[in-house]
Amino acid sequence: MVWKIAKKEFLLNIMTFKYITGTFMCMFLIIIFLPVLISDYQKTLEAYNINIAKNKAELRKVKCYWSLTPTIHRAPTLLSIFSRGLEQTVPDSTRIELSSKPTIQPSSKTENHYLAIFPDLDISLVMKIIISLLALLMAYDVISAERERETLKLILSNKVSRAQVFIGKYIAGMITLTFSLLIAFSVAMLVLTFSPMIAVTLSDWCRIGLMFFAYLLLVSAMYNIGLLFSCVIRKSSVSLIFSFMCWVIFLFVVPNISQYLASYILPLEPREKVDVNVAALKEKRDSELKSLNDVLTKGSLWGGPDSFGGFCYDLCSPGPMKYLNECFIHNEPLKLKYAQNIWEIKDNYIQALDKQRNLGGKISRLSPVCLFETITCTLANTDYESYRLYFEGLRDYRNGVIDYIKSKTNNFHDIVYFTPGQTRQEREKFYATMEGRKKHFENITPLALNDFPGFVYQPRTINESIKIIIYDLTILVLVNILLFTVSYIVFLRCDVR
Amino acid sequence: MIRRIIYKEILDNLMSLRFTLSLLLSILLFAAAGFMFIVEYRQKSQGYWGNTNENLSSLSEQTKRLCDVALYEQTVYRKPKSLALCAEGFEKYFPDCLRFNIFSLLDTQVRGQHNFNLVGSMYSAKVSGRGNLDLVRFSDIDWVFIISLILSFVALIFTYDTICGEKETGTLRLILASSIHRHKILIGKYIGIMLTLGIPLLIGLLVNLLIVISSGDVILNAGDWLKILTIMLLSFVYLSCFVWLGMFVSGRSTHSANSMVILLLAWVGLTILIPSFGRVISETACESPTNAELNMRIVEVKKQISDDRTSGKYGENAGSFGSIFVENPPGTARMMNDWTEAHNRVYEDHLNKLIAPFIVGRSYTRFSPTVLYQCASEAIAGTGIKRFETLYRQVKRYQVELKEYVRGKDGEDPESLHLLCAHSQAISDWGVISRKPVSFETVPKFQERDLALGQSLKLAIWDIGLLVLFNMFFFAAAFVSFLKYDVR
Repeated sequence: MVWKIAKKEFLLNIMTFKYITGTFMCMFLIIIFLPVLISDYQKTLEAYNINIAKNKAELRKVKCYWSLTPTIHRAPTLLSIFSRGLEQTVPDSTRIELSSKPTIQPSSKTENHYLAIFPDLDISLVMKIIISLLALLMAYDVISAERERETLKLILSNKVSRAQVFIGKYIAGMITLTFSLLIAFSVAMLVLTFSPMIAVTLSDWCRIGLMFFAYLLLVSAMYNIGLLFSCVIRKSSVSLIFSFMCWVIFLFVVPNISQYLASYILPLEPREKVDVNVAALKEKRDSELKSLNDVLTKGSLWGGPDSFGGFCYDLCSPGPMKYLNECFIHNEPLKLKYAQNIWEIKDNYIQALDKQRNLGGKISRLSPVCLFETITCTLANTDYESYRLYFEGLRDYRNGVIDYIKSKTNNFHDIVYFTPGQTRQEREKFYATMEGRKKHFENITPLALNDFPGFVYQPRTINESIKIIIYDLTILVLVNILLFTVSYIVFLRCDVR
Repeated sequence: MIRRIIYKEILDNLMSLRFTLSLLLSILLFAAAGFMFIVEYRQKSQGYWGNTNENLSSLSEQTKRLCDVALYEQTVYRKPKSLALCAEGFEKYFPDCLRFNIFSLLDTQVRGQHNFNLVGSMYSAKVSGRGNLDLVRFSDIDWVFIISLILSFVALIFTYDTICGEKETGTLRLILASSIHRHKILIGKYIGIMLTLGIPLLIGLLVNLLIVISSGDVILNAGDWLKILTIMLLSFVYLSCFVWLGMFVSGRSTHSANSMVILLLAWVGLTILIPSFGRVISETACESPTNAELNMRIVEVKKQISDDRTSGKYGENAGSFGSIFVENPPGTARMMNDWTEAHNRVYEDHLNKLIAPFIVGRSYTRFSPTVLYQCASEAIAGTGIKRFETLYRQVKRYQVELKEYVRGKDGEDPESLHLLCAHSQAISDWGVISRKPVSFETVPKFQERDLALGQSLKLAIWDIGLLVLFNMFFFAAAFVSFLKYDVR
């Protein structure tokens, strides 16, 4: 009997104006937005590949350890098409150097900050608006319209139990909505598989599948809200108003208010203060550092450009050479120490920021839409946590690079740290003419960096992602069950007259 | 008769659940917005006054030598506006200070919020994040947000069943059976709904204003009050758009539930989807210039000037930009002035190109009354992109004023060579600008002036016109559909 009811409902639903418009709108918007998002991704990927190649080429030309400051580029995340998260805000290149420790720092990736006023688009923004709206539209009159048309009496006068009617209606609604979700997702999949340069791995497919599941839960939650109002309120238009009030509150009011509340409860110290502290530390560091320029007064100095915009000293007479060596022995540990101190200040600030963000996130869990958003962000690996891990990886990598340089240069004591370090005779051969100096500098053999550590970042695996989202998923499921039970009870007790 | 219809409509609505709900929602949101605004405003003005005083005190230190005043890089900060209460205008995304000396505008930046590491070259617009706001994106809850999203929705709730609801209950027939014209009913209903809608709106605004004023931090002068009144009027015009739309759809459908469904889809399209198209449009239509491009063009210009110098355009021994030995002060001055002029041109071009995609994105999304309303209220409140442009223009005017002042003072000094240029070596070696002290009181200081209501209205006139046009369009549609409405 449940199936008969479900079938009837399904057939009725699928022919309605609202359903056809909603499904069509979903498809239409995906067809418009997806190519834009994909081309955006392709552009970033291309730039990333070029940068990586450039970095490698530069690395092959390094002449002294001092200028070994590779820039690490961040590969774009494919699934950011589905859920943008912080992808656009986290900077995508970081320089690995002695004097600063990488921190996740909010900055706009796009150079034009005026464009930031337009909302960042991704699939989930479009879908969550349309699909949740559609779910409410399907649900608001499920019971109340039947009551208005007095068909509910007829149904219930049969031998069918109320539970069967209710479950049948729920199943029918969910099947209809799943159907339109499926259409939307398959359109998205088709566009994704047929676009060039995009390699969707198995784990990506799994993630997309899980996202689909999250969509289903969101749709079901919205459907249940509509169902609840439809049971409680007699007039379907009034039930629609209530459902939409809920929709507006969940979609627009809760996410905005929760962040405000969080910044009110956990106020941050002004960023300027942090900046001032950092600037003071930097000034102090600069005053403690021995100036390399002083070597000018101590004798002749020659050098040339090195890769990564560095400078490589060469052909110095013994006096300045010794002075330079002393400078570096003195300066480098100092730079490391200050980098650590500066990083601590910044990190404190960022941790406070994170606490605030966390609190806002917790408050926003009142709304199923926000829960859904957290889940998709985590699945797409574009949430704050995965970028934090990425920067932790960068810091580890920096330590590795420093250890490598230290081991090669005897803890900065060796002169190979700042000069290619030829023998004296070798240098003096070229010292005679200006031409000779230039040529000689070009001919210096670069360092053999065969054992130089490379940076590898493993994004969270799917198991880890699931472990993180399981909590939110459970809440979403519980919300669904709760709403369903409440509306079921209301329906059981409702007066069909 | 119209009066009776209005009276009935109002009474009818006042007793309904939707009225109570929308009143509560409106009061809650407006009160929350008021409290949040005060906290933010207090913080911002503290920062603003600190920074501005710092700038002035270092300017006063420069008055020991006139040439220092000329070369001193002033920083002008964006003043937090009390009318940001009405329309915040996405100002957190715009640069909040401009740095310049009397020769050129050096850069615009989001001070205190910019990237830690980003030192940036002197001649580049700094690309900056928005500090703490960036980890989570959320819009400010100002009047425009509440009215354009929540109250427009409430307007639809009030109107979706005005005509088809009466038909369903059968009262429409009764009304039309009496000797009253259809258009009178329509207009009566419209006025009734607008009046009832005005209650939650006005009460909400009053609560908001009371909270803000009683805090004592925000001071509103007569001009501000006029602007607030204008924005209130504008809000009514905006909401009336939705009321007419609701009556139109209600007059086209036979069931109120159907009418609600259509209205909701239209609402989502007009207030959410069309404004979100802005980014796609602006990114496909215009290319944003990058900093690398700007730097390249500046290098090009620099090279051009160097080439001119070697070819002898500025006379012999004109020196170069940073040369330690200046032998031909007039030549050096001419070269430096050419350089600053060329640089300023490149820089201004860059700024215009940065803003262009934004403007394109905005203008193509004007199909939606929401965007029109946002633009218009931003212009009237003096926030948003128009405000930034005005500030930029005012800074340039001030630059000219200060330059004239320096020129005038310089003319009084017989020892100076009277060659205004930004070459510090030429100044210290030859005294191309006077090195005499000036009194701080006579130096002109920058003051950001708010536009008068008339001027801001002029900026918003197109948006308001289009909004009225929307009203007329929906009115005509509602009118025609109601005249042809089948009451059976």
